[in-house]
Amino acid sequence: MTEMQPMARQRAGDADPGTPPPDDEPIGLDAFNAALKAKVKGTRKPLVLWDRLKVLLALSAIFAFFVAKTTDDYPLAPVSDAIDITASDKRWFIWLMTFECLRQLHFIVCEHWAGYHEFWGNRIFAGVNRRVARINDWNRYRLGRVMKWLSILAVFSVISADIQDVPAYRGLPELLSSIIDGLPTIIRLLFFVMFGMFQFIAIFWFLSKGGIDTYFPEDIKTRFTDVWGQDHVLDRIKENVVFIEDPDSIEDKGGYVPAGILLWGPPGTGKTLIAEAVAGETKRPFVFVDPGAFINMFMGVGVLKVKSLFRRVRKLAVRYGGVIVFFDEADSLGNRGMVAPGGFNHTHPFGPGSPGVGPSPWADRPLCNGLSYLSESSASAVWRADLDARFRGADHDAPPDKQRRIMMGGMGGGGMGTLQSLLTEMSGLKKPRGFMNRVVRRVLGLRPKPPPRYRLLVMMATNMPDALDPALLRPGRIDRMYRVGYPSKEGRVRTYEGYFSRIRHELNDEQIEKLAVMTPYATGALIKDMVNEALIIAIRDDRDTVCWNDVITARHLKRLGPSENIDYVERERHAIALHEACHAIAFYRLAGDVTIDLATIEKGMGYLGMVSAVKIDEHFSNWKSDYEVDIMVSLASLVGEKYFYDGDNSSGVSADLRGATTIAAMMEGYWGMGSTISSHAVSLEIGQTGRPQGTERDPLRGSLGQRIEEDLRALYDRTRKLIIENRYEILAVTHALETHKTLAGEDIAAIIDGVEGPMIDGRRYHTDEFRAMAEEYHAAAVVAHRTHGSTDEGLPPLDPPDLEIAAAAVPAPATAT
Amino acid sequence: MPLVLVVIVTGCGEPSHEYLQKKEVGAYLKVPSDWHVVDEATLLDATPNLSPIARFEFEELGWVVAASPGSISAPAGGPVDSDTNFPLLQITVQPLNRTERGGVSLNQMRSYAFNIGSLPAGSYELFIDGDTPLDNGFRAIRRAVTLPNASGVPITFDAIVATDPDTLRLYKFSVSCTAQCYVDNADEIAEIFDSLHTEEP
Repeated sequence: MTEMQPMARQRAGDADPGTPPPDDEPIGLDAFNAALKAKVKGTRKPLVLWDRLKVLLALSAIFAFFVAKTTDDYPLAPVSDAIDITASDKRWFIWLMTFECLRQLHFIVCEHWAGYHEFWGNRIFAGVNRRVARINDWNRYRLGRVMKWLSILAVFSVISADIQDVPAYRGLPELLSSIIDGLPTIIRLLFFVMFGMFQFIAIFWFLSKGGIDTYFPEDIKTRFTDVWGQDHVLDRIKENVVFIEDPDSIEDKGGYVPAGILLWGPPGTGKTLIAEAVAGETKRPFVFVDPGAFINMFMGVGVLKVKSLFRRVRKLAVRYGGVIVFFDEADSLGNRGMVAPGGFNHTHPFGPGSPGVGPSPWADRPLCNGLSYLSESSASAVWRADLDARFRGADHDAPPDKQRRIMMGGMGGGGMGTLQSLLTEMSGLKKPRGFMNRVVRRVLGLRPKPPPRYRLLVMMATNMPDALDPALLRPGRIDRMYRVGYPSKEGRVRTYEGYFSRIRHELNDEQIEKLAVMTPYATGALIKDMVNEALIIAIRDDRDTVCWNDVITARHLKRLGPSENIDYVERERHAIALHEACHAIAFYRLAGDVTIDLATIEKGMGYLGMVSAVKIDEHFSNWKSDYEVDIMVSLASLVGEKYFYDGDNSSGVSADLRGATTIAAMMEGYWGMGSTISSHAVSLEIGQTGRPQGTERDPLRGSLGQRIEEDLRALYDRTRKLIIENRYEILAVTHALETHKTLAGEDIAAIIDGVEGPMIDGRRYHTDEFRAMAEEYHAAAVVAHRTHGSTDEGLPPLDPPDLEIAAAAVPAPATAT
Repeated sequence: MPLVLVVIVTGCGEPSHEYLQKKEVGAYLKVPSDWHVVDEATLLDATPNLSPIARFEFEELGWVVAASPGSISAPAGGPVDSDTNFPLLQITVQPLNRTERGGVSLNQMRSYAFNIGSLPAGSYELFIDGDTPLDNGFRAIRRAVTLPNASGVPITFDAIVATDPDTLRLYKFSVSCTAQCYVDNADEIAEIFDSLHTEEP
């Protein structure tokens, strides 16, 4: 019987937090208070009930086993006789239990009588206690484990001996002998079990193998010089390359190699290319993780894939001195509860609502494409308002926060523990590895060896960074985040030059630069695609050299998509052209830092016509005046239709009105651009509107609605004035649109200003003859509109016709495909 | 803790019965704990002309044991010596040889229990003679006879003879003592026979 001083035990527990606490260490606040009280009184620290009873319970369990065996041996004996027989056969066991009872009684007395405790602790066991206290924590822990194992083996030996009717000391050898005798049977059973397990293991093994490709240094030819237009990102990335090639340069100074990089930005901007270039420059293996790798049919396969991936990565890191893991479209990993990514694509290179981006969300029937001429910020606000309204549509009575929960939680891929597993692996690289190291060494009482230092660079790419789990982005997992945005003008010029250098072409430097200006948000992928489309057009024309017209045609085709090639009836064509001309004129007259990209009345996917714009300069903030311009451009269609059709207007203005109203509401209620100062968002949150929190369902009917209406009315009047002042210019653009269906921004400007444009001579629209002809034609169109008939002569042609170049330069996209 | 104390206290007591059993032959019965038992080794030691091989075979396949509340001993070369005023329980299980297996009739079993065929009529009283049910398909008969010994004291022999379902062994459980003793200890003897349990080993 050994007894450790409470203080010594306390010290032992404090010294090594990693060491399991001694068995009789009370846990919890009550136990702590009890120990403190005992220390003050000089008594023994009280044992918790479990510690007091566990040995007795273990002995009782063994005795119960013996009794059960006696009952089996003596079928005629009742339990009472079995107990008697057992006790009589195993007197030593009764003595052992008696001894344990006495030991616990001794402890109980020690816990209540300081003098008794002092006598035993400081006199009888003083020497033993001193020796135990001198043993360091780790050795004490190992000693404890050895004692524990010896006790377990002794119990096994006794039980085995009893079963086999041999002396206790032969219990273990006999047990071993029995096991060896039964080994063939055991192996046979194991084989059946393993065979069953193997089928599952094999299935999961195969399932966990797809979606991960490893490229070795000799396979990767991409270098930084292959990445064009992203110099500012490359400069930063090169820093990381230096560190992964020479980790000592930062680790010797007390730092660590950044282990994770997130590249985020619009699609096609070269994120994957950059990652490949990093692998190519560092001459390290490149592990490419497919976006769909973690989308699995069965639960748990994703977790297996993550573990398998990191096992492979660690091996490669050790073998090659480093490895780069690239997760493409990292948003597919999903998150664990954030608002799911909205499909907000207003940053599409050619503006929101572009073909390929998807139709305007409220375009249940084809309308004017209202988003195309708005600023990014306005388009964003309109998009979000519309999405919000759509999701609320499912449950109008639910408060806004609850309605939004339609999109909450676990969206995306991953799921079922995959993301959690990835997080663990990304931050668990310092754990000891290997069965022998972790388990066998620990069983032997040895500390596991630390793992080698893995040089691992995790790179992720996404165009939806909001969809990533915040835990994934914390420093230590992702240390650096770089935005891979649209290339600058210089970058675009270089990219165009790069792709044009691969084909035969007639473009000069000036044209390439102009092309870069005309495509402000073009990414590397888009430029590559456009150049290729131009080449296809040239080949279709039996040429192998791309000319300027091929490029412009390709751009229009890519910009608008294939036309539906529908011919409107004459009066509808005129109305649509007039509608778009009003937008174009308002835009041209009002917008300062944005220019018209093109206007069209060719029916496309989800729209009848559209006017789109491109930025002249990059800017990142928007002002009240900018939003007012957006609203006026939106309202121009309504104003124009009412003005030119004597108060009548089409439903085609609905999208424009929705956009204008949304922007006006945001200005008045949220952006501080209205007649009041308070934010409507705060009013909703704290219920100052007089309604319960978040339940205002129709703000447009309240005071906010009145203010919005007043703002829109004022802007409407300004727009009307503008439309009236530009009556002839509108009719001119209408005529040109009806004639050519699609007009480039420069040509629209030429028509409005009466100058020669690249394709159209605008001077011919500023003659008295044209004005008279246009007025006459418009009057006939209005009459046809009222009578649902048609004009007598149709669209009057200009005499002489437009420049020959116009017909060649702006072909109908539908025919091109 | 109290449970453990109960176990400890209980452990200091003695079993209420002495259990006579041998799993190898599948025979179990109990006698009161104050009975004296002469174990198999002692009895075999006393058996004359028993070769080591025969002894080994008997130990493996058969069983012999005797018990009595009175004095009992196993003198070398003789039968078990006991006070006839106390019941003497003798159990003998002997393996049957190949020719005997499967061919033990009830009459043979009755004769093995107590052969009264050679006794003159009226010299004995047969008061039990018939089948008796045993566990697990064992066939058994019970025969009880009272007849005077050489001193003219009436002695009662009560025996159950059984065979296992495969007729590999012949079991004999017999109690003998004076007729008066048999009457006096009828309950105890009945309890012993009632506790008899057989099963295939």
